[in-house]
Amino acid sequence: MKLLTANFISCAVKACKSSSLSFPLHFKDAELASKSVPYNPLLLSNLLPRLDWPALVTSSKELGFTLPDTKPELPRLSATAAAAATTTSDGDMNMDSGVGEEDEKTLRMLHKVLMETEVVEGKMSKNNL
Amino acid sequence: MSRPEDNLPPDLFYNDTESRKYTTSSRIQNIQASMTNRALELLGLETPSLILDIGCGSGLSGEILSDGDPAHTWIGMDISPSMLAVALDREVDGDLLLGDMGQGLPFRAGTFDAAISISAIQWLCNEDEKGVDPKTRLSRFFDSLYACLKRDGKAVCQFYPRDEKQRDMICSAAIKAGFGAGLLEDDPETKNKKLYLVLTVGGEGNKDITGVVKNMDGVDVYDNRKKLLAKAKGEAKHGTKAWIMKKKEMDRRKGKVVKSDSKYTGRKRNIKF
Ligand SMILES: C[S@@+](CC[C@H](N)C(=O)[O-])C[C@H]1O[C@@H](n2cnc3c(N)ncnc32)[C@H](O)[C@@H]1O
Repeated sequence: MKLLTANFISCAVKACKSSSLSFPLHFKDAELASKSVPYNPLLLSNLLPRLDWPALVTSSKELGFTLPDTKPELPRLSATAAAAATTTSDGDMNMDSGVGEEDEKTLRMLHKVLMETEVVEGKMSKNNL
Repeated sequence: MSRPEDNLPPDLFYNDTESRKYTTSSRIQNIQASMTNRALELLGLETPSLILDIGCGSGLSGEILSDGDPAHTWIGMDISPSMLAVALDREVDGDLLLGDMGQGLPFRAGTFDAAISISAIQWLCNEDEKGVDPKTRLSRFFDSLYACLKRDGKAVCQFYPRDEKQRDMICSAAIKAGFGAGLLEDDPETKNKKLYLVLTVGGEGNKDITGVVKNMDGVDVYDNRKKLLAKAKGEAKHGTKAWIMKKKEMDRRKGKVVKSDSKYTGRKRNIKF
């Protein structure tokens, strides 16, 4: 499972949903794999506002890497910028126009953590189990 | 023709053999692909989006989502471990979850830009093994779907109801969950007819499904207002105020310019010189 998905899953049990302990689910004995996925900055900037950052920091820590404590800020990439972007042979989107170096770094980091890191083996559990 | 839905629970019907057979049939591949493309067209997403594929099976529908332009990212959920195993084998792009949609979708509120379900939700018209009835399962499903979509989100579910009763049961569960709902039928009256339930989540303006499906042939707007209208139709006598109001409403929905309603609507007017 991708960290992206993990950040959006919550326990489906109704009584559980409202409890702060039910989110995020925690990884144990996780085995990681990395999978190459086309880089898509537009999707990432669209997803960023929806991410639960503290939960992502927690999940990442459990898997052995560190993220900044606060959610990075990104300008909302627009569809026009994307239209100007080119796609490379491996499907990556090149956003030469409009994205600063710092933002590009942030986007690449998000891409790696959310889209390319997969937990292939291991357990997920709630805090209150 | 006998329907698998009438005989076995989905996770037993889609066992290892059936899942392979299903996925490798080029006939099925083509049908699922064209229905998914139709669903995408109805969603009208212009930017790369995060999409939930409900009853994703072996990924025949999902792969259309990641292969298109713009390429979307998807998360799939299915109740059949065999189907998901085939999806894993085929190395589909989407992340896969094992779960029963009839127990509710396990996602945070506002997660997805959109959702699709291709040939799956009619399975909700059966009891589950614990004897939970279809009505409860349908409402758990649609309530949780409504919650996990973004405020301007949309969903398209292609499904095969057994009969009108099942179709209506599904539609009214969706409306009860708060969706604006429209039904679209492609190739009606043929054996290839396909039914799409188009759902929109709140947000002013988006609630009105007529905007989503306007200018499309064979669209049946299916919501509470329509029922009220149908009722009015049965009762309103030609020439009465109710009849005029109904006619005006219908014209309005066709996009015609209609005089606004007032207390004078439908009154007899005296001839003036
Ligand atoms: C005809 S297949 C369609 C699969 C895929 N959407 C496609 O287009 O190829 C129907 C799928 O719905 C799944 N399904 C049936 N009932 C379900 C439920 N309650 N929860 C989740 N998936 C379910 C089945 O396991 C099966 O994989």
